[in-house]
Amino acid sequence: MALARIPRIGIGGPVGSGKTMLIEQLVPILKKEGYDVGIISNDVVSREDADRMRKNLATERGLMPEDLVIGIATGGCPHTAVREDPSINISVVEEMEAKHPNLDLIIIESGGDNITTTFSPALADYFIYIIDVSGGDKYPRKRGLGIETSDLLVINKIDIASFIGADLSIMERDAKVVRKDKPYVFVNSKTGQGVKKVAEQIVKDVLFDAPPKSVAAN
Amino acid sequence: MLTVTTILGNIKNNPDLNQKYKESLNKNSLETITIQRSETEKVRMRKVSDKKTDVGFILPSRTHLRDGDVAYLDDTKMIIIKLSPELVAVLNIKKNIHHHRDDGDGSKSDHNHDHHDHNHDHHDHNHEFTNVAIKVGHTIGNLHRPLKISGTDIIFPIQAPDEINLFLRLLSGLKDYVDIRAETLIFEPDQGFDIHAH
Repeated sequence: MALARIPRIGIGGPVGSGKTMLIEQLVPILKKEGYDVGIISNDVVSREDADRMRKNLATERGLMPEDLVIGIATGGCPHTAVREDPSINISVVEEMEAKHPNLDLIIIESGGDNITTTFSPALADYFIYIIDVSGGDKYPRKRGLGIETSDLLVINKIDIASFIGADLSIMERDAKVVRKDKPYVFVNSKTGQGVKKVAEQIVKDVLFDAPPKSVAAN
Repeated sequence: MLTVTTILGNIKNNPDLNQKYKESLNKNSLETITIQRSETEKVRMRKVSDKKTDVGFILPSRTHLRDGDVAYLDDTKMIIIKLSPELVAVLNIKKNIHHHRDDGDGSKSDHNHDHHDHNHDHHDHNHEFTNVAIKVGHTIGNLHRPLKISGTDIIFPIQAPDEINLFLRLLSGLKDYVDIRAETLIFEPDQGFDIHAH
Protein backbone atom coordinates (compact mmCIF):
# COMPACT_ATOMS: atom_id res chain seq x y z
CA MET A 1 0.00 0.00 0.00
CA ALA A 2 1.20 3.47 -0.84
CA LEU A 3 2.17 5.66 2.08
CA ALA A 4 -0.66 7.72 3.48
CA ARG A 5 -0.43 11.26 2.21
CA ILE A 6 0.53 13.64 4.99
CA PRO A 7 -1.69 16.75 5.06
CA ARG A 8 0.05 19.69 3.42
CA ILE A 9 -0.53 23.39 3.65
CA GLY A 10 0.87 26.01 1.31
CA ILE A 11 1.68 29.53 2.47
CA GLY A 12 1.97 32.27 -0.15
CA GLY A 13 2.06 36.04 -0.15
CA PRO A 14 4.00 39.08 -1.33
CA VAL A 15 7.69 39.63 -0.56
CA GLY A 16 8.11 40.67 3.07
CA SER A 17 4.51 39.99 4.08
CA GLY A 18 5.64 37.66 6.88
CA LYS A 19 5.37 34.12 5.51
CA THR A 20 8.51 32.88 7.23
CA MET A 21 7.76 34.62 10.49
CA LEU A 22 4.22 33.21 10.51
CA ILE A 23 5.68 29.70 10.22
CA GLU A 24 8.15 30.47 13.03
CA GLN A 25 5.20 31.42 15.24
CA LEU A 26 2.95 28.61 14.06
CA VAL A 27 5.25 25.61 14.50
CA PRO A 28 5.80 26.07 18.29
CA ILE A 29 2.02 26.35 18.84
CA LEU A 30 1.34 23.17 16.85
CA LYS A 31 4.27 21.40 18.52
CA LYS A 32 2.88 22.29 21.93
CA GLU A 33 -0.32 20.48 20.97
CA GLY A 34 1.80 17.48 19.97
CA TYR A 35 1.74 17.91 16.19
CA ASP A 36 4.99 17.16 14.35
CA VAL A 37 5.60 19.45 11.39
CA GLY A 38 8.00 19.46 8.44
CA ILE A 39 8.84 22.62 6.49
CA ILE A 40 9.76 23.14 2.85
CA SER A 41 10.72 26.70 2.08
CA ASN A 42 10.96 28.06 -1.45
CA ASP A 43 13.12 31.08 -2.15
CA VAL A 44 13.98 32.56 -5.52
CA VAL A 45 17.76 32.65 -5.41
CA SER A 46 18.77 31.80 -1.86
CA ARG A 47 17.93 29.43 0.94
CA GLU A 48 18.02 32.15 3.54
CA ASP A 49 14.51 31.60 4.93
CA ALA A 50 15.05 27.85 5.32
CA ASP A 51 18.41 28.42 7.02
CA ARG A 52 16.84 30.91 9.41
CA MET A 53 13.95 28.62 10.33
CA ARG A 54 16.25 25.61 10.73
CA LYS A 55 18.48 27.57 13.09
CA ASN A 56 15.56 28.99 15.06
CA LEU A 57 13.14 26.05 15.22
CA ALA A 58 15.48 23.04 15.01
CA THR A 59 18.99 23.94 16.15
CA GLU A 60 18.21 26.46 18.90
CA ARG A 61 14.76 25.41 20.13
CA GLY A 62 14.85 21.70 19.33
CA LEU A 63 11.24 21.68 18.09
CA MET A 64 12.07 19.48 15.13
CA PRO A 65 15.00 17.59 13.57
CA GLU A 66 17.21 19.75 11.34
CA ASP A 67 16.47 17.64 8.27
CA LEU A 68 12.79 18.61 8.54
CA VAL A 69 13.51 22.12 7.28
CA ILE A 70 14.37 21.97 3.60
CA GLY A 71 15.15 24.95 1.36
CA ILE A 72 14.53 25.04 -2.38
CA ALA A 73 15.98 27.82 -4.54
CA THR A 74 13.45 27.92 -7.38
CA GLY A 75 14.83 30.64 -9.68
CA GLY A 76 12.38 32.45 -11.95
CA CYS A 77 8.83 33.31 -10.88
CA PRO A 78 8.15 31.66 -7.51
CA HIS A 79 4.54 30.70 -8.35
CA THR A 80 5.68 28.43 -11.17
CA ALA A 81 7.25 26.09 -8.58
CA VAL A 82 4.05 25.81 -6.52
CA ARG A 83 1.44 25.92 -9.27
CA GLU A 84 2.35 25.52 -12.95
CA ASP A 85 4.98 22.86 -12.36
CA PRO A 86 5.15 21.87 -8.71
CA SER A 87 7.10 18.67 -9.45
CA ILE A 88 10.25 19.78 -7.59
CA ASN A 89 8.22 20.54 -4.46
CA ILE A 90 6.18 17.34 -4.78
CA SER A 91 9.36 15.28 -5.00
CA VAL A 92 10.72 16.91 -1.82
CA VAL A 93 7.35 16.41 -0.06
CA GLU A 94 7.32 12.73 -1.02
CA GLU A 95 10.89 12.27 0.14
CA MET A 96 9.94 13.83 3.47
CA GLU A 97 6.85 11.60 3.71
CA ALA A 98 8.96 8.50 3.06
CA LYS A 99 11.61 9.45 5.64
CA HIS A 100 9.19 10.76 8.29
CA PRO A 101 5.87 8.93 7.86
CA ASN A 102 4.74 9.99 11.33
CA LEU A 103 4.65 13.69 10.57
CA ASP A 104 1.25 15.27 11.13
CA LEU A 105 1.69 18.17 8.73
CA ILE A 106 3.98 19.53 6.03
CA ILE A 107 4.15 23.29 5.48
CA ILE A 108 5.27 24.53 2.07
CA GLU A 109 6.29 28.18 1.89
CA SER A 110 6.26 29.86 -1.52
CA GLY A 111 8.82 32.46 -2.47
CA GLY A 112 7.46 36.01 -2.20
CA ASP A 113 5.19 36.72 -5.13
CA ASN A 114 2.24 38.74 -6.42
CA ILE A 115 -1.48 38.78 -5.61
CA THR A 116 -2.36 36.05 -8.09
CA THR A 117 -0.33 33.40 -6.30
CA THR A 118 -2.15 30.14 -5.68
CA PHE A 119 -0.95 26.62 -4.91
CA SER A 120 -1.60 23.64 -7.14
CA PRO A 121 -4.01 21.32 -5.31
CA ALA A 122 -1.63 18.53 -6.35
CA LEU A 123 0.90 20.13 -4.00
CA ALA A 124 -1.09 21.62 -1.11
CA ASP A 125 -4.41 20.63 0.49
CA TYR A 126 -4.89 24.00 2.13
CA PHE A 127 -3.73 27.41 1.02
CA ILE A 128 -2.97 30.28 3.36
CA TYR A 129 -2.45 33.67 1.74
CA ILE A 130 -0.77 36.34 3.83
CA ILE A 131 -0.71 40.07 3.20
CA ASP A 132 0.30 42.89 5.49
CA VAL A 133 -1.28 46.22 6.28
CA SER A 134 1.58 48.27 4.84
CA GLY A 135 0.16 47.99 1.33
CA GLY A 136 -2.79 50.07 2.57
CA ASP A 137 -6.30 49.15 3.66
CA LYS A 138 -7.45 48.93 0.02
CA TYR A 139 -5.62 45.61 -0.39
CA PRO A 140 -8.43 43.07 0.26
CA ARG A 141 -10.91 45.12 -1.78
CA LYS A 142 -8.65 45.03 -4.82
CA ARG A 143 -8.98 41.25 -4.84
CA GLY A 144 -6.67 38.87 -6.69
CA LEU A 145 -6.66 35.08 -6.74
CA GLY A 146 -4.69 34.71 -3.50
CA ILE A 147 -7.02 36.96 -1.52
CA GLU A 148 -10.16 35.49 -3.06
CA THR A 149 -9.48 31.78 -3.35
CA SER A 150 -7.20 31.03 -0.40
CA ASP A 151 -8.65 28.84 2.34
CA LEU A 152 -7.43 31.27 4.97
CA LEU A 153 -6.47 34.92 4.54
CA VAL A 154 -3.97 36.20 7.09
CA ILE A 155 -3.52 39.96 7.47
CA ASN A 156 -0.21 40.62 9.19
CA LYS A 157 1.57 43.54 10.91
CA ILE A 158 -1.57 44.98 12.49
CA ASP A 159 0.72 46.72 14.99
CA ILE A 160 1.86 49.22 12.36
CA ALA A 161 -1.60 49.94 10.89
CA SER A 162 -1.93 53.26 12.72
CA PHE A 163 1.49 54.45 11.53
CA ILE A 164 0.66 54.08 7.87
CA GLY A 165 -2.98 55.15 8.12
CA ALA A 166 -4.50 51.74 7.38
CA ASP A 167 -7.97 51.21 8.81
CA LEU A 168 -8.33 47.59 9.95
CA SER A 169 -12.13 47.83 10.01
CA ILE A 170 -12.10 48.64 6.29
CA MET A 171 -9.85 45.65 5.63
CA GLU A 172 -12.17 43.44 7.67
CA ARG A 173 -15.30 44.70 5.93
CA ASP A 174 -13.79 44.18 2.46
CA ALA A 175 -12.33 40.76 3.34
CA LYS A 176 -15.82 39.64 4.35
CA VAL A 177 -17.32 40.82 1.06
CA VAL A 178 -14.59 39.42 -1.16
CA ARG A 179 -14.22 36.09 0.65
CA LYS A 180 -17.89 35.52 1.50
CA ASP A 181 -17.90 32.92 4.29
CA LYS A 182 -14.22 31.96 4.07
CA PRO A 183 -12.12 32.79 7.12
CA TYR A 184 -9.57 35.55 7.64
CA VAL A 185 -7.36 36.33 10.64
CA PHE A 186 -5.55 39.48 11.75
CA VAL A 187 -2.12 38.77 13.20
CA ASN A 188 1.07 40.34 14.42
CA SER A 189 3.71 37.75 13.60
CA LYS A 190 6.31 39.63 15.61
CA THR A 191 4.52 39.07 18.90
CA GLY A 192 2.46 36.06 17.88
CA GLN A 193 -0.83 37.89 18.38
CA GLY A 194 -3.61 36.12 16.46
CA VAL A 195 -1.42 33.19 15.35
CA LYS A 196 -3.22 30.80 17.68
CA LYS A 197 -6.34 31.35 15.57
CA VAL A 198 -4.37 30.35 12.47
CA ALA A 199 -3.28 27.16 14.27
CA GLU A 200 -6.88 26.45 15.27
CA GLN A 201 -8.07 26.77 11.68
CA ILE A 202 -5.35 24.35 10.55
CA VAL A 203 -6.21 21.79 13.25
CA LYS A 204 -9.88 21.99 12.32
CA ASP A 205 -9.83 22.25 8.52
CA VAL A 206 -6.65 20.35 7.62
CA LEU A 207 -6.11 17.89 10.46
CA PHE A 208 -9.86 17.38 10.98
CA ASP A 209 -9.37 17.70 14.76
CA ALA A 210 -7.50 14.38 14.80
CA PRO A 211 -5.04 13.85 17.68
CA PRO A 212 -1.32 13.99 16.83
CA LYS A 213 0.01 10.72 15.39
CA SER A 214 2.48 10.41 18.28
CA VAL A 215 -0.43 10.53 20.73
CA ALA A 216 -2.72 8.25 18.69
CA ALA A 217 0.04 5.61 18.52
CA ASN A 218 0.25 5.26 22.30
CA MET B 1 -17.47 14.51 11.18
CA LEU B 2 -18.43 12.24 8.29
CA THR B 3 -15.34 11.07 6.40
CA VAL B 4 -15.64 10.65 2.64
CA THR B 5 -12.82 8.66 1.01
CA THR B 6 -14.32 7.95 -2.38
CA ILE B 7 -16.79 9.44 -4.86
CA LEU B 8 -19.61 7.02 -5.65
CA GLY B 9 -20.35 8.34 -9.14
CA ASN B 10 -22.16 11.23 -10.77
CA ILE B 11 -25.91 11.76 -11.00
CA LYS B 12 -25.55 13.08 -14.54
CA ASN B 13 -24.17 9.88 -16.04
CA ASN B 14 -25.08 7.10 -13.60
CA PRO B 15 -28.78 6.12 -14.01
CA ASP B 16 -28.95 4.36 -10.60
CA LEU B 17 -27.56 7.39 -8.80
CA ASN B 18 -29.80 9.68 -10.81
CA GLN B 19 -32.78 7.61 -9.64
CA LYS B 20 -31.58 7.86 -6.02
CA TYR B 21 -31.12 11.58 -6.52
CA LYS B 22 -34.75 11.98 -7.59
CA GLU B 23 -35.91 9.87 -4.65
CA SER B 24 -33.81 11.91 -2.25
CA LEU B 25 -35.27 15.11 -3.64
CA ASN B 26 -38.78 13.75 -3.02
CA LYS B 27 -37.93 12.52 0.46
CA ASN B 28 -36.19 15.79 1.21
CA SER B 29 -33.09 13.81 2.18
CA LEU B 30 -30.80 15.46 -0.34
CA GLU B 31 -27.88 17.53 0.92
CA THR B 32 -25.46 19.56 -1.16
CA ILE B 33 -21.91 20.75 -0.64
CA THR B 34 -21.09 23.72 -2.82
CA ILE B 35 -17.46 24.14 -3.85
CA GLN B 36 -15.55 26.61 -6.00
CA ARG B 37 -13.83 25.48 -9.18
CA SER B 38 -10.50 26.08 -7.43
CA GLU B 39 -11.47 23.32 -5.01
CA THR B 40 -12.34 20.65 -7.58
CA GLU B 41 -8.85 19.15 -7.44
CA LYS B 42 -8.60 19.13 -3.67
CA VAL B 43 -8.21 15.69 -2.16
CA ARG B 44 -8.33 16.82 1.46
CA MET B 45 -10.84 19.39 2.69
CA ARG B 46 -13.46 19.91 5.36
CA LYS B 47 -16.86 21.19 4.29
CA VAL B 48 -20.33 21.64 5.76
CA SER B 49 -23.40 20.65 3.71
CA ASP B 50 -26.44 22.88 3.27
CA LYS B 51 -28.06 20.84 6.05
CA LYS B 52 -25.05 21.30 8.36
CA THR B 53 -23.49 17.86 7.98
CA ASP B 54 -19.78 18.16 8.77
CA VAL B 55 -17.83 16.33 6.06
CA GLY B 56 -14.09 15.63 5.83
CA PHE B 57 -12.89 14.61 2.38
CA ILE B 58 -9.80 12.41 2.14
CA LEU B 59 -9.86 11.38 -1.50
CA PRO B 60 -7.37 9.46 -3.65
CA SER B 61 -4.69 11.61 -5.32
CA ARG B 62 -5.73 13.13 -8.65
CA THR B 63 -9.45 12.94 -7.87
CA HIS B 64 -11.21 15.65 -9.85
CA LEU B 65 -14.58 16.61 -8.39
CA ARG B 66 -17.40 17.42 -10.77
CA ASP B 67 -20.80 19.01 -10.45
CA GLY B 68 -23.24 16.22 -9.52
CA ASP B 69 -20.71 13.89 -7.87
CA VAL B 70 -22.17 11.76 -5.09
CA ALA B 71 -20.10 12.01 -1.92
CA TYR B 72 -22.33 9.99 0.38
CA LEU B 73 -25.41 7.81 0.18
CA ASP B 74 -27.33 5.79 2.75
CA ASP B 75 -30.99 5.26 3.61
CA THR B 76 -31.24 8.56 5.40
CA LYS B 77 -29.39 10.94 3.13
CA MET B 78 -27.59 11.61 -0.10
CA ILE B 79 -24.84 14.22 -0.30
CA ILE B 80 -23.88 15.62 -3.68
CA ILE B 81 -21.26 18.10 -4.83
CA LYS B 82 -22.41 21.29 -6.47
CA LEU B 83 -20.04 23.52 -8.35
CA SER B 84 -20.55 27.21 -7.71
CA PRO B 85 -21.44 29.24 -10.83
CA GLU B 86 -18.78 31.77 -11.82
CA LEU B 87 -18.25 34.68 -14.16
CA VAL B 88 -17.18 33.65 -17.66
CA ALA B 89 -16.77 35.13 -21.10
CA VAL B 90 -18.79 33.43 -23.83
CA LEU B 91 -17.27 34.00 -27.23
CA ASN B 92 -18.92 33.02 -30.43
CA ILE B 93 -17.48 33.01 -33.93
CA LYS B 94 -20.25 34.26 -36.20
CA LYS B 95 -21.69 31.63 -38.50
CA ASN B 96 -21.95 33.97 -41.48
CA ILE B 97 -18.23 34.54 -41.51
CA HIS B 98 -18.15 33.89 -45.25
CA HIS B 99 -20.48 36.81 -46.00
CA HIS B 100 -18.40 39.20 -43.99
CA ARG B 101 -15.57 38.49 -46.31
CA ASP B 102 -17.71 38.97 -49.41
CA ASP B 103 -19.26 42.11 -47.99
CA GLY B 104 -15.88 43.75 -48.01
CA ASP B 105 -14.58 45.86 -50.85
CA GLY B 106 -12.88 42.83 -52.31
CA SER B 107 -9.48 44.43 -52.15
CA LYS B 108 -8.15 41.34 -50.35
CA SER B 109 -9.13 39.16 -53.30
CA ASP B 110 -6.12 38.52 -55.41
CA HIS B 111 -7.99 36.47 -57.96
CA ASN B 112 -11.22 36.61 -59.81
CA HIS B 113 -14.29 35.65 -57.78
CA ASP B 114 -16.34 34.81 -60.83
CA HIS B 115 -14.17 31.84 -61.55
CA HIS B 116 -14.55 30.27 -58.14
CA ASP B 117 -16.26 26.95 -58.21
CA HIS B 118 -18.35 25.90 -55.22
CA ASN B 119 -15.60 23.76 -53.68
CA HIS B 120 -13.13 26.57 -53.88
CA ASP B 121 -15.55 28.87 -52.07
CA HIS B 122 -16.09 26.26 -49.41
CA HIS B 123 -12.36 25.89 -49.07
CA ASP B 124 -11.96 29.65 -48.63
CA HIS B 125 -14.70 29.68 -46.02
CA ASN B 126 -13.02 26.93 -44.01
CA HIS B 127 -9.71 28.64 -44.42
CA GLU B 128 -11.09 31.90 -43.10
CA PHE B 129 -12.92 30.23 -40.21
CA THR B 130 -9.75 28.40 -39.23
CA ASN B 131 -7.83 31.64 -39.44
CA VAL B 132 -10.23 33.44 -37.06
CA ALA B 133 -10.48 30.44 -34.71
CA ILE B 134 -6.71 30.15 -34.38
CA LYS B 135 -6.34 33.86 -33.65
CA VAL B 136 -9.08 33.68 -31.00
CA GLY B 137 -7.49 30.58 -29.44
CA HIS B 138 -4.06 32.21 -29.51
CA THR B 139 -5.35 35.28 -27.68
CA ILE B 140 -7.16 33.29 -24.99
CA GLY B 141 -4.18 30.95 -24.61
CA ASN B 142 -1.82 33.87 -24.21
CA LEU B 143 -3.80 34.81 -21.10
CA HIS B 144 -3.56 31.26 -19.74
CA ARG B 145 -7.28 30.65 -19.46
CA PRO B 146 -8.83 27.23 -19.10
CA LEU B 147 -11.32 26.56 -21.86
CA LYS B 148 -14.61 24.89 -22.61
CA ILE B 149 -16.15 24.52 -26.05
CA SER B 150 -19.92 24.08 -25.97
CA GLY B 151 -21.52 23.92 -29.40
CA THR B 152 -20.25 27.07 -31.10
CA ASP B 153 -19.57 28.82 -27.78
CA ILE B 154 -16.02 29.25 -26.56
CA ILE B 155 -16.17 29.70 -22.79
CA PHE B 156 -13.45 30.78 -20.39
CA PRO B 157 -13.44 32.31 -16.90
CA ILE B 158 -12.91 36.00 -16.21
CA GLN B 159 -12.51 37.70 -12.86
CA ALA B 160 -14.45 40.88 -13.57
CA PRO B 161 -17.00 41.98 -16.22
CA ASP B 162 -14.45 44.61 -17.29
CA GLU B 163 -12.34 41.87 -18.82
CA ILE B 164 -14.81 41.67 -21.70
CA ASN B 165 -13.48 45.05 -22.80
CA LEU B 166 -9.93 43.73 -22.60
CA PHE B 167 -10.81 40.87 -24.92
CA LEU B 168 -12.75 43.18 -27.27
CA ARG B 169 -9.60 45.23 -27.56
CA LEU B 170 -7.31 42.24 -28.00
CA LEU B 171 -9.62 40.85 -30.67
CA SER B 172 -10.41 44.22 -32.25
CA GLY B 173 -9.10 43.05 -35.61
CA LEU B 174 -11.72 40.31 -35.56
CA LYS B 175 -14.67 42.38 -34.35
CA ASP B 176 -16.75 41.55 -37.42
CA TYR B 177 -16.31 37.86 -36.79
CA VAL B 178 -16.85 37.37 -33.07
CA ASP B 179 -19.44 38.14 -30.41
CA ILE B 180 -18.39 38.14 -26.78
CA ARG B 181 -20.46 38.54 -23.65
CA ALA B 182 -20.19 37.95 -19.90
CA GLU B 183 -22.29 35.29 -18.21
CA THR B 184 -22.45 33.52 -14.87
CA LEU B 185 -22.57 29.75 -15.12
CA ILE B 186 -21.07 26.50 -13.87
CA PHE B 187 -17.75 26.23 -15.65
CA GLU B 188 -16.08 22.87 -16.09
CA PRO B 189 -13.11 23.05 -18.47
CA ASP B 190 -12.67 20.49 -21.23
CA GLN B 191 -10.18 17.79 -20.36
CA GLY B 192 -6.64 18.88 -21.12
CA PHE B 193 -7.59 22.57 -21.18
CA ASP B 194 -7.63 23.12 -17.45
CA ILE B 195 -4.60 25.37 -17.28
CA HIS B 196 -3.97 27.69 -14.37
CA ALA B 197 -3.84 31.44 -14.62
CA HIS B 198 -0.28 32.74 -14.68
